[in-house]
Order: sequence, then C-alpha cells, then structure tokens
Amino acid sequence: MGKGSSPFVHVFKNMDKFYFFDINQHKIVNISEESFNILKDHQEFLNHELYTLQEQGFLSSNRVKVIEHPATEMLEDILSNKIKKLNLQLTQQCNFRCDYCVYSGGYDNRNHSSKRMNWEVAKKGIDFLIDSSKDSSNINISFYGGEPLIEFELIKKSMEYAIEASDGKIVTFSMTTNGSLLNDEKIEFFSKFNIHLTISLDGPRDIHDKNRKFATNNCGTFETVYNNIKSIELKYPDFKKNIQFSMVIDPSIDLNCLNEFVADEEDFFKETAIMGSIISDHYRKEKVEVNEDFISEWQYNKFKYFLHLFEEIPDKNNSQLMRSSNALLIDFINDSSKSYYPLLEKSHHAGPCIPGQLRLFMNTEGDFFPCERVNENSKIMKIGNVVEGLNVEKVDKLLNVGKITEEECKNCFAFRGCIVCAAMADSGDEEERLSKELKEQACVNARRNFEEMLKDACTLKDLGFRSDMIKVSKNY
Amino acid sequence: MKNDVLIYPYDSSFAPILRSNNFIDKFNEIHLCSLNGSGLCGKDASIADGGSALNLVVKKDFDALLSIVDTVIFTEVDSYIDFEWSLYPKIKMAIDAHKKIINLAPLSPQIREELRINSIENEVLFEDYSNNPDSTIDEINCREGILNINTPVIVVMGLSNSTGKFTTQINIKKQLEESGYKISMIGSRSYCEFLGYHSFPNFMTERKFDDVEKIFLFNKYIKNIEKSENPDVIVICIPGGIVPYDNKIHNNFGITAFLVSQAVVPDASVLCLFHEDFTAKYLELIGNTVKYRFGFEIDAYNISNRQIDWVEMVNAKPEKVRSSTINIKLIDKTIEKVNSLTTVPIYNLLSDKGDLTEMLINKLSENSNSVVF
Ligand code: SF4
Ligand code: SF4
Repeated sequence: MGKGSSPFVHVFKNMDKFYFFDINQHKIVNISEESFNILKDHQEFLNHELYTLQEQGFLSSNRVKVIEHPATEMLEDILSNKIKKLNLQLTQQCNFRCDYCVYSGGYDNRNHSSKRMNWEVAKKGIDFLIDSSKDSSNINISFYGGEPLIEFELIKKSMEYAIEASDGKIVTFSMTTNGSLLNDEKIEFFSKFNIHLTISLDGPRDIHDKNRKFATNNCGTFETVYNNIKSIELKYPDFKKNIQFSMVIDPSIDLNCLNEFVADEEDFFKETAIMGSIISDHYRKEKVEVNEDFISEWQYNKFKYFLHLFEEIPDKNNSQLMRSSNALLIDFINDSSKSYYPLLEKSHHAGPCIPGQLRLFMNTEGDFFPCERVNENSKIMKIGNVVEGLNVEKVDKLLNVGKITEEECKNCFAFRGCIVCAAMADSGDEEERLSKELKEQACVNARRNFEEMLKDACTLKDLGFRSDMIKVSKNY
Repeated sequence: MKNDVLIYPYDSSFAPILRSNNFIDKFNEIHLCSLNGSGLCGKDASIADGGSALNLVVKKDFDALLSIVDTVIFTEVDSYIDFEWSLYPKIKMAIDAHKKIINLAPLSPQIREELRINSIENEVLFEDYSNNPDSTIDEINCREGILNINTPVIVVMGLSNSTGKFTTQINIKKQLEESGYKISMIGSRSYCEFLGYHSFPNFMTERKFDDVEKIFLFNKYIKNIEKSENPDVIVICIPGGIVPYDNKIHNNFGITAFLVSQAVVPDASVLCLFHEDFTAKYLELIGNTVKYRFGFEIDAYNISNRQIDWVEMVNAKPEKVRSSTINIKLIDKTIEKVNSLTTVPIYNLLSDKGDLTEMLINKLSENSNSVVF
C-alpha cells in the first residue's frame, strides 16, 4: 500500500499492549498484536478487528493535501484588528549576569547593551496596539528587559498612559523580572493595576546562585530576591497571588534538591504557579550539559506526579514543576472523548502562533518580533516596526513554516499535536530564510515528545485514571 | 428641521443602523464618537463592521462633539464598557448641556429613574428605548389552540450570538419595503421601537409564564400584529443562538428559537452563520439540526463577516463567543466555494454577491401559489 493511501495512523507499543493513534480522529485505539503487525507492515489485508474499526470511522487514509495555515487569508484582518499583546523591551541593561541568559553572551540572539527604550517609542507601541485591536476586548501590555524594573519611571508612565488611552478595553499588564529591584514603592504602584509578575527563581540558594549572579560583584542573587518576595508576602499579602515563578532548570543540577526546596517552602509558593523550563539549547553557542542522574530523577518525578493525580500522595510531595510539563497530557485526556473533524484538505500543523498577534515583541528601537524568545538579530524574525507596522508577507512566511517540510508534515502523526514553530527553524543568520535542517531537528523532538505523551495517556488509562479525576485534583 | 446628532459610543453594534436609510434620513449631520480604546478612532465608520465605506470618520473627543449637536444617541456596545466611567457621566453631561437624549443603552431601573428626573429638571427630552415596552396581550387561552397566521412569515435566526442577525433583519426589511411590501417586523434587540418596529416581546423571557404558555402567547402576539397592522409579510428575528456553543456558552440552549418555531410556522427562514472553512458535512449537520429541532428547512444562509477566534476560545475560555472581522474578498470566495457544497443559497449582506431578499420574495410567491385558506 502506498504511503498516501494507507490508513493515517501511528502504531506503538506501551507496556505489553498494542495501539494505534488515529490522526484524523485524534484518538488512541487499543488493538491486538496481529492488528498491530498488519498496520506496522502496511499490509493491505484487514483482519476482523481492523475491519470493524474501519466501519466505525477509524483508519481513514485521509491526509492534508495542501499545507497552508487556516489564518493565512485572514492575516491582514487579524493583524489590523485583533492584536492582543505587546511586550515592550524597555532596556537591554540588567543588574544580573546569568550564565544561561540570552543577553549574557552564551547565545547568538542578544547581548546586554546600554540600549533603552524612550518614551516616544513606548507610546507609539501602545498606540499601535490599541489601533490594531478593535476586535480584542482584552489587551495585555508586558514589560521585558534586560531587567525592566531598571526603567521603573517608564513603566509607570506607560501603564498610566495605557489605561487612559484604552477606554473600552480591559487592559492587563505583566512583567518578567529578576525580582531584585522590587520594593514597597513599586508594589504600592503595581497594586493599583491588574498586573502579573513573573519572577525568575531557579531554586534554593545553591542552585539559584550557580547561574544567577549580580553583574557588579559576581555574587549570588538568591538572598535579595527571596527577601524581597518574603517582604511582599508580609506587607502586601493580597498582591502575592499576582506573582508566579519561572524556574529555569539547569540539567546539570540535582533535581531532587529543587523539588525539596519547593515542597519545604510551602508558604512561599502558596497560591503561585511555577513555570519550569529547561535551559534552552536553541540559538546557544555551546550544548547544555546534562547530569546523568537528571533524566532518571525527571522520570521519577513524573511517576510521583502520576501518583499525585491518583491522589496517592499529597500535593506537598508532588513536584509542582511537573505540572507545566504535563499540561498537554492533561489537555489530551480532557479532550479524549471529543469528536474531531477529519483533517481538512488545506491545513497546517499545530505549533505556530500567528506571529505578531499573540505575543508581539517590540525591542528598544521599536522593531517588531513574533515574541521575546526569537533571535533579535535574525532578519527573517524582524516582522516590522512601530512606524511602518507589521509586514504581512513576512508574517505569512513564519506562520506557514510547515511549507518548508511540506511532505513530512502531510504524513506526520504529530500533525495535530505538533509544537514546532518558525523560531525553531531560525538559524539567526543574515539570510532571510527558514532552515529546513534546523526544523527537522526540532521535529525529531516534537514527535518523540508527542509519542511519549500518547504512551503516558495509555499508562494512565491502564491504571484506571478517568478524566473526572482531573477536576478532583485541584491545580493539576 | 432635522437635527445634528452624536452617536456615542459608536462601535460594530450600531454600524447596521448607520447603514439603514431610514435612520440616516432622520438627521441632518451625523457625528460618531467612540471610546478612545476602541481601535476605531480616526478611521471610517465602516471599519467597525468591515463593510463598504460609510464616509463618516469616528472621533474620540466627546466634549467637543457635544457642543455642535442637538441630539445625542447613547447606544449599547459590542465591546467592553465601564458604565460608571464611560457612559453615565457622559449622559449627565449631555443632559446638563440641554441636548435631546435618545437612549438605547441598557440601564438599571434606578439609573433610568434618576436620569428621567434629571432630564425633567433640566427640561431636556429623554427618549429611553432601553426598556422594551410590555406587549399588551390578552389572557392566555390555551384552549383556543395555535392560531393560523395567514400572512407569510420570514424567520431570521443565528447559529450563535454575533452572527449578524441584526444586519440581516435591517436589510431584509429595507429591501422588502423598497420592493413595495408592507412589513411588520419583530426585531431581536430591545430597542427596535426606535427603528420603527417591534422589539422581541418581554413575556418570552419572563418567569411567570411556562414554556407552553409562552408558545401560545407568542402565537397570539403575532396574530394580533397581523390583525392590527395588516402587513404583507411578517419578519421575526429570534434573539440569541439556536444551539449551545459548548458546555459553558449555552445560548439559552436554543429554547427561544424552539418556542417561536412551535408558535409560528415560517414560510421562509434565514440562518445566520459565522464565516468559516465550511464543509458539506458541517452544513448538512446544521440543516438537519434545524429541520429536526424546529421542524422546518433553512431556505438561505447568511454568513457574517466574522469568524470565531478558535485560539482565544480554547486558550482563554471566555464567557461569550469571540470572533474577528474578515475581509469581504475572502467572504466572496467562501460563498463561491459553499455554493458547490450545498443546495441552500448562501449570502453575505455586506458584499454585493447575490440578493437574499429577492430569493425570499421568490420563495414566498412559490408558497402563495398553493390554494390555502
Ligand atoms: S515561540 Fe514560536 S509559537 Fe511561541 S510565541 Fe514565539 S513565535 Fe509564537
Ligand atoms: S513534527 Fe515536524 S513533520 Fe511533524 S507535523 Fe510537526 S513540523 Fe511537521
């Protein structure tokens, strides 16, 4: 059977059982070993089990014929009417020098510099957001750096102006900060607004200080940040819920140490989310070093997370970090009973946001990028500027990143669960092209993770997990 | 003498009214003022609904505009509005400036009363259309049974909220009238009296009647309109949606549409849909839903120039359906495609493709060939 006419399914084994994942139905089906072999070997013959499944609508050979993002033809409309967020890079200066930070020289995309945004640029950015968001009832203005709190006066002016200029919209604010410059004056000001702070805290003192040091004296920053947050907790308890933590996990550390810290500091982390992410390899000059035990510890923590889902172990002993990394699994379980439309003739793999709509990033000079994670030096990632607006053609190219791996995508089982976007296909070079080679590397990870997620779902199902148990376990 | 009027706060909710000649002809100069964060200020009013140019620029300086008009229309909005901050003080300001007030915005009974007294004190005319007048109706007489409506009835419904029902009803009325028909219309909004027709009757949402009573009441209500107004055609626009969007956005489970469908048998029906990448299967499913739920076939689809924002719906799980404006070129393309997927004709009232009203007139004349008494 040719690839295009064979059932569009992905077969896999988990524990001692056999399954296929039907891409059109977006469902996992448990099958016999015989059926598994028939599908694996692309045999034309269908046994009784497979024939019955086919009668029920499974095993369709339907595949996408043209890779094109559904938003392509509406791109101009969306970029003129429905932008939702603007992330302002207020300064490239920072009072920290973190080893893994994209500005600290270890990456290709940025370096710390003295560049700062002036008020005119910030104002134009806010005006641009309001002018391009008639269909968005909620907009978000975000402050980013370097360390944005170095520019507190600019933050104040921008927030006050945004509120005044956006009657008819709900405006929320957010900020990613290292937390070292937070003080009473700032919190008192922020308390008047709907603002959410993401504070970078990498773990207990030893772990945090390993990578996050003051620029002036190379000393660890843990104590300052920790004390500032403790002080907020004491003086402004209502504000604490506006804080979430971002933990950049260095795979050369002892993960158990990190988990113990989160579990022991129950009060400190109460009511706050922790977003864990492993130090990014992307755009990085040197590969990230991985501690041998890290992988087994990660798996062990995942196991504990599953036990927690079954309420076999209390909240306290469960790794909060696992929650964000398993969010896709939980979504998959939640949606598993939904019926899905078969893949449309014209479609695009999941993964890319509409560049410029959801996380528009504006650097100190007023240049636009899809988000704060992309390489600011990459020509292809620069999608416009605050004076001329967004360049629809460039956005189109990034949105339709699937076109560079068109044939692979049409036959890929991860199509609907893909997490690859243009940022992962950006080599950051001068040439205005996306790299197929880089994207293919990202695809290997994306497919592996997706298959892993399918297997986790099967394991949980085997152990008797039900979707209604998700609601029972608060804050999964 | 015609007045100069200011419309505040202008947004997509008012755009269909601005496109109706009935309204335009009532006033001398029309000024539009939006909330400064609407994204409409400094642009042509057509940006609000994505239709053809209206050649009226939306402004943001309420105070300056107030000084040059005689009348202010305060409207409801599709977008978010902080009543205390953006509307209430402006109404007070307009009363103090001795302007005639026409209010279409929803008001609480206390505020309505306060503003009414305030206007009397200031000798200002305060026309309030926000409170749908109670429809006088005889006692419910279920034994009388459902009465036949002998006048042709067109029903306009929407799959969900914001699918362009209001634009559709205004257009149908305008075009039928231009073709010489006498129309009685029951609109889907609460201030339709301002536009010269009936608002959807209050009793349909009142708790004091049960569903069976509401069916009889609505039937009687339409019969009364037929008797008293003697129209050539009755157009009924059903508020809300006909099916739930999901477990949270329930669109009243389509109950209103069901009650109306039991009270009156339409001779023609139009279903308004969001724009999307339609498939034959999807359209068949919708057709069957209407057929088996309400007992009639859809005679035409009208697709609005809005598309559901799926990303926002999945990620933010909002309280109501969120959508984005789509360009007319894409809609025309979709109409062409959909015409090959279904035999039910499909239209968009903001584009020039096809004539929905002509199709409805043909449909009604088909029915009039049958010998019915
Ligand atoms: S990483 Fe990719 S998908 Fe995510 S916001 Fe940035 S550009 Fe969009
Ligand atoms: S993993 Fe790669 S091939 Fe598969 S859908 Fe995603 S981008 Fe396409």
